[in-house]
Amino acid sequence: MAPEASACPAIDAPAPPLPRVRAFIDPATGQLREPTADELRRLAEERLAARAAAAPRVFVVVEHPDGMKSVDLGDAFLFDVKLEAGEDGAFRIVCVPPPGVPANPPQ
Amino acid sequence: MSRSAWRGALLAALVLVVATPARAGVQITIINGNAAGVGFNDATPATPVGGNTGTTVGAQRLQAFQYAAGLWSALLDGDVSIQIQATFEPLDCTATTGTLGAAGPTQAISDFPGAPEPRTWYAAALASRIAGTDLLPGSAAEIQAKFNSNLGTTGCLASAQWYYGLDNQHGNSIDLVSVLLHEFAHGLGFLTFADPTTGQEFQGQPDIFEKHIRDDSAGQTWDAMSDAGRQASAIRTGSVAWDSPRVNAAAPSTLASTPTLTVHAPAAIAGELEVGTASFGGALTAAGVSGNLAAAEDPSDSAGAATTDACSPLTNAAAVAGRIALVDRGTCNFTDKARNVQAAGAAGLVVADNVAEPLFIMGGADASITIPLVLVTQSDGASLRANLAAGVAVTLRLDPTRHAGTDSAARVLLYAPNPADAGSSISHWDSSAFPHLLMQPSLASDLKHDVDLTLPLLQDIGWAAAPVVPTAPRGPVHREGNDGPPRKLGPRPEAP
Repeated sequence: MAPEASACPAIDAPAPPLPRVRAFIDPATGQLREPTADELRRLAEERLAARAAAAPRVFVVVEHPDGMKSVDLGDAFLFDVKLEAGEDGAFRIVCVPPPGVPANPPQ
Repeated sequence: MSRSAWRGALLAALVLVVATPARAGVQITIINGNAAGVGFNDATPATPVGGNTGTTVGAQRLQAFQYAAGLWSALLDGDVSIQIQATFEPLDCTATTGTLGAAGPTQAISDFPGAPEPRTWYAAALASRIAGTDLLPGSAAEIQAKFNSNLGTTGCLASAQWYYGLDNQHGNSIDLVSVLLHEFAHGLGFLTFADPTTGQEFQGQPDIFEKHIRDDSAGQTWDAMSDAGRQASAIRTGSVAWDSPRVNAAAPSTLASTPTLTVHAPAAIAGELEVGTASFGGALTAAGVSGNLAAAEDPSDSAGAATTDACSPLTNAAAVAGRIALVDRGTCNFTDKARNVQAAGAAGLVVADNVAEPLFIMGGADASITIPLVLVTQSDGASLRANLAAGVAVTLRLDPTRHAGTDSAARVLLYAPNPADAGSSISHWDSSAFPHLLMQPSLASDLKHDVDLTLPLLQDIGWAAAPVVPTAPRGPVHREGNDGPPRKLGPRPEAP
């Protein structure tokens, strides 16, 4: 009878910067599974820490003659999909945000 | 229309798009940004798979991209061309973690000709669709997408593989089309530009997505709230919902009934308790399983020191037989607990969490377990246990009047974990929605290339649905057998 802790291992890899969509593959069944509440909470905390450490992005608002405004986002709002493998071999896929979004004050 | 029939109609529409580009639908074009010999141009031979007829790795990648873009193109109406700048290239990767890919809008635009709302940001693709023209001619594509070409190679998650087939038969591989459908939806506007961790709006003005984010506690939409209000709202799990006509209308036919634990007596605690479900065990039904709760008792032994964890065969089987067993979470697998109380003759199982946390899905698999089981919070479990002497009569059931992933007003919940999860928060459906939705933050293995509630949400922010596409049906409202019943709040399946 496996203890709960080992049956549900904490498989968070070292914090990648700011993940967003994630998937887990249970090696026992070969099926995707979702992270536990504890895993998600820890990931969120890691992302916040990484985000705080990221340099603020600077966006330029372009005002067009007709009143339109546009902002080149670069890769600031790309939603990363990461795959991570834990010590037990399980994978997870995560949809993640970019770092440092939008940290600059309104213009 | 059945799911297969709907998919057939969708494919027919897709073929139509390819065959007759003059159709007044959104044209989504994949711009191959790779150099010769790499990425989409990788000439490594490949065997056609799952409807993908490409004979090189590069050709299969491109065909999967074009297929996913074609699915969206077939669903969206409008006389506009959207470009997706796409590459397959080496991205950050190690043996244990790596980036599969990334996608999103390249520009935010406001106050464009024909903009429905002034001083409101729109993703570039949506703004161009509404304006009916390319608002930034000569600039970059409206959406950028880049995916990892090294996945599955030595040093880069070697055991993981992309599945380039178009038929969703991906097995244990990563279904590229599903990931692309999700990512492209972000690029089409399924996101807020506001920062959920600070509450700040992007460049000091709201976006169109914000105007549909309703905080049930505050009774306001996000665009009407202060930075502090949005920051607080972003972590009100279960209280932040999408509020707009199309999604509200589509939710009942899309989402499953909500599992619940009805407490009939004693009167002091009578009511409906929110529950987490399990990935195994008997399916909950609308009629449910009723009985009095009975505390399961087992020996304090090497399987578990506690006498309330049901980690060993019960010592009070006669008291549990025919009743709903109450056990505490901890020490052993959920399947072990269920097996032991079922062996004692219990008709159902209620597991009380041993941690103060949101509800989740109890993981595990055991086909021999046929009784239904639910998880209650630590505090609800304590309340039930404290009243056992008075006789606690309960029913484990599905509540057909509520749907998994909705608030009390039947609005579909958005993902609002505490702490906030930077970009994931708010820009996805809540994890409690069931069946799984395309735009939940964790990719589920059972996605079927459906766009479920994503399409009506895109319509709510300004996209138009192509008239040839029927309303997407969903499967049964709940699943049978080991797939377990529909999910409820805070649905995080946990390995046993």
